[in-house]
Amino acid sequence: MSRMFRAIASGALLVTALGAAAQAQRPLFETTKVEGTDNVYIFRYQGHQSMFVVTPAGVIATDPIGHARPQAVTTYIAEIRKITQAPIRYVIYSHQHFDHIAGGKPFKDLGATFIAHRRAKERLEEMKYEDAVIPDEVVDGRRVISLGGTELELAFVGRNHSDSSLVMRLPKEKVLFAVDFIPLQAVSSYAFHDGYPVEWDESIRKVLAMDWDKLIPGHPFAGGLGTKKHVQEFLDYMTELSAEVKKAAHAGKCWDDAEKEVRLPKYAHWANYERGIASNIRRYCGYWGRGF
Amino acid sequence: MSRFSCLLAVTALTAAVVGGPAEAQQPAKPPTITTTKVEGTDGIYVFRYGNRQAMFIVTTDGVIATDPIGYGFPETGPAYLSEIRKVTKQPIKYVVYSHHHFDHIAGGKPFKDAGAKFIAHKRVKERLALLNDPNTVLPDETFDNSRTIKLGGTTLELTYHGLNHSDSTIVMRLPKEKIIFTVDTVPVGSMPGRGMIDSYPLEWEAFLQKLHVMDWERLIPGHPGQPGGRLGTKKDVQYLLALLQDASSAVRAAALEGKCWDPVEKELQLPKYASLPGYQAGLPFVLRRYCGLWGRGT
Repeated sequence: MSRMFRAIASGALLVTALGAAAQAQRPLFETTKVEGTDNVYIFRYQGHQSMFVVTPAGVIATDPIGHARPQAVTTYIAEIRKITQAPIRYVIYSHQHFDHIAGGKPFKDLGATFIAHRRAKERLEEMKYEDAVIPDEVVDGRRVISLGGTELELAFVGRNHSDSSLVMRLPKEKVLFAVDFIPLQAVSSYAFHDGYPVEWDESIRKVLAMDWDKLIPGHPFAGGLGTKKHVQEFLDYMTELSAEVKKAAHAGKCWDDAEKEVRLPKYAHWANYERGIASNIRRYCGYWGRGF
Repeated sequence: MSRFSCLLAVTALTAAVVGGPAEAQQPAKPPTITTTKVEGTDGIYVFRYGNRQAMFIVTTDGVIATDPIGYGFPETGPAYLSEIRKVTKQPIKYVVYSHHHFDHIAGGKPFKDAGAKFIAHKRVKERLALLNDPNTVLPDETFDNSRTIKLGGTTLELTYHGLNHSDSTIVMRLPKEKIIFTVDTVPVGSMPGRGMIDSYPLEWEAFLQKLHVMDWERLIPGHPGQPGGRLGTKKDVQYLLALLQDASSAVRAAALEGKCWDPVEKELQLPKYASLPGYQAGLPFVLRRYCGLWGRGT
């Protein structure tokens, strides 16, 4: 842990870009080891997080989180280098969205192999977005990466927040890294815009059926790591909201009336509830009220 | 032509709506119903219910209707039928869906009961089958890229030209009359808005380019054109294409600086289009969609 404290101290810059009051006092970036593991780390830069796994045979990194801030990626690599000099063998994309995966070129230059869901590669090729490294290899359903005695399972559990989200699971450590499709005790303003309601519920059920104890989210959660209880709560939130908006849609209340009237008070204590729920309702209005 | 120097109002009655949507909180003023014959044609009509409209075609062998536009207003279907009945007693042979969104295609049951065959793009049926909306009739027949309906000497061409406002939007074209009916793809004389939410912006631009080279002169939109419920022309297509391209490049530049979502949605303006009807209400939808595209990659 002492090494970790040094890493944290080295990253203790003043935060100016974050609006959230809760994060106002946090350093710009930090690297923390997941409690109870020997080699699983979380690299946070501003409001984004990425897991990396250190093994004697090399490092498995994940989302570069360098969108519009290339310094996040060089910092990420420097943070890894404080822990190990082993080569960075892989970069695995959690899904295709730029805010998580842009900026990976410094990893590519170090020789890392980039892996993502097939749909992420297809979409990145379509978009010709110059700041995202195109994956070298793709996953359709499931793949296991074995490196230096560590196994990392990559699993596609269906469409949810995106059509290319991979669940990354460390079976031995019982740790999961899943980005944006399982907000923890928070109502996301952005996660639902282009998501796939109802299919999303099914993907969450698959995650609940997996063997794990701790969930690393793609954005910092006040509680640190998620648990199955948090995931079940999010599933409950989605199914309840979907049912309420469906009723509202059939009563002709989509869009505006539903966005103003539908509320789930039992979740009112969740972060960003009021703003986020209206945005989530809009997505369910699209589904039940318009048919997309 | 002089006889048809303006849109000929066949009926322009205020709807005697009984009730309204069953569970509406505050019954608003009943929507206005109008049925107008398109100038210079013998049998092409526009049925309007409130803010939505649909084309129907009267031939000597029957009627081709389009979108039932009955979402939230179950009385629309019967009103639509009764408007057709004022023009002709011919059977209603077809209902053609413009795309899969309920606000345009819900409420078709009265047409189904009258024996009409429902036709749509194949994606419409796929989506509707999943959603199982109680108020929307499933298509009887679907097509992939094109289908031509011939009825009583009239030819109606149905074609699919790729993604745009939705993934199931078709163009209905009357080659002889040089009229097209396409819904939510070209907001005539107004700012695009909510229709951006689930759209495919890049493909939409390609669609507009294809639409522009098709052989037609007048476009019937799914919402009345501005001003005065006018029909669209190829100029409207070009105008929208320029607007989408301007919005796209402005947001793209901001996205690369990390300004999506909030700073863009709060600060970015498109001053060139500020005088368009619906600009203030529509702009946030436009910006959000392009932030999705350039800031997120979707």
